[in-house]
Amino acid sequence: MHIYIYDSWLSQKKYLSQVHDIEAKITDLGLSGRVCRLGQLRSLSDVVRGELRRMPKTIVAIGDDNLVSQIISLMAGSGVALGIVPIGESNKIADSLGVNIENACNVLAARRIIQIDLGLVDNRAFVRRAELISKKLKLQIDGNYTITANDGKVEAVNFLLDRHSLEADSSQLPSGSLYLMITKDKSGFLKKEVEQSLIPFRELNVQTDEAEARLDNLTTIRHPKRISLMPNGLEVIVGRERQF
Amino acid sequence: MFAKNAPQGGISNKDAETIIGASVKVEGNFVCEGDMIIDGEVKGKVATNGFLQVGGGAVINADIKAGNGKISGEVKGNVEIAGYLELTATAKIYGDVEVGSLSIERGAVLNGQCAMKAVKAEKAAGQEKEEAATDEEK
Repeated sequence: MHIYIYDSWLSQKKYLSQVHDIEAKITDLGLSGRVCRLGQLRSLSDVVRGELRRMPKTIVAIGDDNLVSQIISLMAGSGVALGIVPIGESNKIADSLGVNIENACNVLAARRIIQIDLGLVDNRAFVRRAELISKKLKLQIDGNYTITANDGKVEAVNFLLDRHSLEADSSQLPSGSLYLMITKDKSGFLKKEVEQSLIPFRELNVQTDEAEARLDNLTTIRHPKRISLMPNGLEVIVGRERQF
Repeated sequence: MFAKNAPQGGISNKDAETIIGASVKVEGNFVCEGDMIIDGEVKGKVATNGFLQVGGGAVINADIKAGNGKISGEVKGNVEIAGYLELTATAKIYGDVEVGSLSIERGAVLNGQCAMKAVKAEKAAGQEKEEAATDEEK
């Protein structure tokens, strides 16, 4: 059975016709299922955890990157497939997976499933990036060496689902790694310059006591100890034009 | 991940798998597989199968092993490059260098012994032949 989770803002007038079209297509393709509309009284984690207990065939996120990120972190390791119908402003995750508003229902019907890697901060999954916040960070990488970053933005990034943010040609990046990205703005009065460090890793230990990790800009973990790769952490339905 | 025979002029940030920026310090056994750019500070050991580019402001206190390389910064340690190594005018190396082929720009500093891998291999092969011949004579 398919479970459709609608983001709360989809009840706004401007999205009604889009939602109506999607529902019509879903019915035509014989993919109807249970509908869960999020609202002030229904938290996403309660909805997803409740539905996962019933072992559905697929959970479909109807919304933008924000909703998809949250659902992925809740579904990590569940073995249930995730489908996406992207609506709204930012849909980079769906883009990476070759899904857009036009082909989303047909992609669901074709049910091409792949397994993708996720990132973990301690035991919490993240989809795209975990920002590490501290004045001075000391990080041990893969048990081999330590990195000290005095300032700048320090992030552990899963480029598999966040390829837009990388300067390099990400299609050549190997899977099976997370990347530590340290970005420092060195812009002057006339010159815009950014220093970027990029280090692939599988496991990272935070050796600074007073650090915080912000996962996908959604949740914060205090005193994170370990960031690691969760291989094949999620089953996801993808389109033909996926970017990896 | 990238071509092992990297362009002799060096690589850009877009092509490198690992980049150490000027404000970052690395300590320990820094071993990677792809192409690498170092503009910061490294202590310990550096090794990669790919291309290693050491920027003008980089300070490396470590032994280095790489497939090919271009050095513009300061290296205190031994350098072993399987293929081609380019030392630019700002390069300072305090240690022994062993390379396949080498180019040194005017102004570069090289304080240490320099050995070419091909010559070394020829010498070793020659020695083996001599030893085999003396064994036969006996």
